Amino acid sequence: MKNMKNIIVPTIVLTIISTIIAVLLALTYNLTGVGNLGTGLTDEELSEYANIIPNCKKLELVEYTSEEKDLLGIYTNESKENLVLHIKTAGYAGKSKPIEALVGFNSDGSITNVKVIACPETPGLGTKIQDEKYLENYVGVKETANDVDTITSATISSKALRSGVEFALKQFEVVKEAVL
Amino acid sequence: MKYMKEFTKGILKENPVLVMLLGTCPTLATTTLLSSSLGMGLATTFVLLCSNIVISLIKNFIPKEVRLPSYILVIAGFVTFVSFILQSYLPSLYESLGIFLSLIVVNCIILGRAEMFASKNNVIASALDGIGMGIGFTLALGLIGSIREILGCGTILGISIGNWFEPIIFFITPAGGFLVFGVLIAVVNTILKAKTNKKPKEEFGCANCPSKDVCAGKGECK
Repeated sequence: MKNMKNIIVPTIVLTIISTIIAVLLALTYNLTGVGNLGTGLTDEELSEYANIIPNCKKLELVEYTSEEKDLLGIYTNESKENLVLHIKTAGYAGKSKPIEALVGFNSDGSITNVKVIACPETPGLGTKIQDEKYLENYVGVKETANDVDTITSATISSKALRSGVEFALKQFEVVKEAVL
Repeated sequence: MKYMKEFTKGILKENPVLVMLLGTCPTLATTTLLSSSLGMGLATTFVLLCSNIVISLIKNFIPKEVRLPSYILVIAGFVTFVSFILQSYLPSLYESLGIFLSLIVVNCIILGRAEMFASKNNVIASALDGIGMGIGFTLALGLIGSIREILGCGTILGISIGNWFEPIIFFITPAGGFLVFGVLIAVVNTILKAKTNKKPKEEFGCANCPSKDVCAGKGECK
């Protein structure tokens, strides 16, 4: 009987604690809306990043389904002359999680600008790729991005970003017929 | 006021990072910039405070066989709560802390305080102990973070300290982290030693003497 008590009481207590915590966490999960954080850009971000392509006040989502997992979305401006590709760099390099970037294109396939919108790299080292001065090196790049330099102390992250941009350049050729 | 000691001990005398050398892994990994070190410190403080309070409240209901699993459950619950909050309201901090946010669950400071303090003391003392230890952890991380950011990036909280200073990338790398960490431990040790030496030496009275019974407390052996 004593053995039973030693086994049953702890089990019940542990079960009760787990249940209470699970219920509370489920409530938090619903209240904070973490589950609804999709891959798309929010309304605010659509306006915030609009200056990546010319003549644009707010980016508009283009309906397009791609089989490429790293292509998260395609956006355009009102005149539908420019495209913005939302990409992530998983499978290329990066570290714990993929870097996400927006790459803006002219209709002739040259890059108007690049913006890094999610950069889970080492703070102080890899996060240097968000620097706007560095990203200006991508402006006007066409066909291949391999000539763009990497940053000292952020070599792996800038290589990851570069391969992401390279991927965007290839994807632009694929999608431009369908979208523009 | 009798609890004041529980609060202040964590800040210098029993500082979890620089004196007890707990939680070294997040200390070295998240202190490359001041902002992420403070984020890590505050997140840990919150979890430490809440878990100390809850564990102190439920300590009498928990059978000793499942003591540690219960503590871990409570701590993991709070850590998940913090990571949900950060993910939806402060995504950039969530990204820069990365895996180390979830690793707060197994942070030895939190489990150590739960096992050593909260499970043996009342709620008020446990809460103060949690805040004190948390502030000590945050201050230590903030100190290491600011030294590494100033020397390694030439900025403080992202604001440049001027072009005259050429950043030393070494301090951002893990090796630089170890260097700063070691130097700070040495400094804190020196301060603590100086503090104990300053106190007037306690009179070694006859009452405490192990040979009291032999000489019957005549007090001539001084």
